[in-house]
Amino acid sequence: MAGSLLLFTVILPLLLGCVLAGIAFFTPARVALLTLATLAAILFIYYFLEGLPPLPPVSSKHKIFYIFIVLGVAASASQKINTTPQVLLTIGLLLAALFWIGQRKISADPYQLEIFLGLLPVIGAGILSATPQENRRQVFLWPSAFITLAISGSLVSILGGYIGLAQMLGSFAALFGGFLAVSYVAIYFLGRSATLANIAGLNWLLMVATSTILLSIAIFANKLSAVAFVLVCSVYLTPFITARFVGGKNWWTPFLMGGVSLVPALCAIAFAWAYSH
Amino acid sequence: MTKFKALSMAAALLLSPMTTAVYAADSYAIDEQHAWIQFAISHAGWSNARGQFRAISGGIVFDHDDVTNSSVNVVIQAESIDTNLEARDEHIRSPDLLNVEEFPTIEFTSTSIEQTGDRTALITGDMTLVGTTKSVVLDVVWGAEFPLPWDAATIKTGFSATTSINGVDFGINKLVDFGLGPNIDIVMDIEAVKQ
Repeated sequence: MAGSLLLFTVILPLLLGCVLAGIAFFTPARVALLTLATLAAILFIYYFLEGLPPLPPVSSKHKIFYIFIVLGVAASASQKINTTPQVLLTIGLLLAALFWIGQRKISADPYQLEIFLGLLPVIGAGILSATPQENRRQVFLWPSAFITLAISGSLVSILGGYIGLAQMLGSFAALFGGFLAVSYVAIYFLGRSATLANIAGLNWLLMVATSTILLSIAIFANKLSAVAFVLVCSVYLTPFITARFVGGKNWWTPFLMGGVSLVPALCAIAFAWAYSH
Repeated sequence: MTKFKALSMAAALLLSPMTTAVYAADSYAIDEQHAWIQFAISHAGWSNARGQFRAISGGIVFDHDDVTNSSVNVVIQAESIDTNLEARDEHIRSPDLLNVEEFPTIEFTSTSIEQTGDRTALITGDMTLVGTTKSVVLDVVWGAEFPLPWDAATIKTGFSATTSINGVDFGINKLVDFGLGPNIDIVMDIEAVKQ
């Protein structure tokens, strides 16, 4: 049991992340192909952990699979539009996901704290989409925040009583880890560029997919610490701080980016731990 | 006298279908204070984890003359699960397992009944668990029916039933990840008051 858990939660997602970075750096794949590969990786992760969901979906967790598909289709298109429409697209899609996932809960009482917490990843993703296009094409800027977002979100979710999606965020963290590891080697050992035109769609898709899981955790984790979740969502803002390191050629630049995002993440984990004990 | 007897018999014959229609199928409400639904599920093969639900309601239509005309509806409040450890109950209530926020009730509604003995029957019905409905067969034994010793107006009947379901069939895939089941043995003991 532990072996298969490690295989499906860590090893396979890590390998998928390596493959994605490999495609991004070592093939002439354009945005559409790379986002398609990213979507495939995300769907594989879902399948590894939850199996194929029924159609039509029965529970909110099943809906996530179909939301991923919609986001994957939108990912290519999102890179062909300007910043403002992209922000609107991001917020619009994630709001639709929030209402669909939280349908039963919202219809019972739309003014619950959990619904407002679920809005935070929507807002975070919307704000992050507003970053300049040049930053969206950076290999480390967004993913270094995403890996922190996924790890802290996963731990806060476990402590909040929702282990299933915590596991999925953990797998996403492994995916980001694989991607970042191969990217690091490609850039710092093989001399590839840290700015890739085809990476923006991948970055956007990983961001909105992670946000979908986070908003679902906000709505349904029955012992979630609201403070911890707010702190997790503040990780969305860290690329605005770490953007100043973009272009740095030092080997430690990506670690610095990750380190900055760790500050609110560690606070989130500490709050969640204190809340659950 | 003979004429009177004949008339009486004719009247009895005429009335008997009405009598049957009124009394053959009686309605009962499940006595929520005397209803137990317990389950056992393998815990990684070490032992069986056991628990029960504390909030059970529903109704029974019981046709004593032809039990195949009877019907049962049982509604369980999923949140009322009790496995003797609150932290574990909280996790079972989460979307990983019972998902009580989205699916607050577990329901069984009979669709057909096959009498297998004087006091036994197989009740086939639709069980809805975490939003998924599957056909389930309950092996039922009827206990007894008589008025309460201290209240002759209140007539109580009672049944015991067993069944086994596969949690994965109902979409609870995480059972396997957590080393549970996936087969769940269910035992029901239900008393119901005639309405």
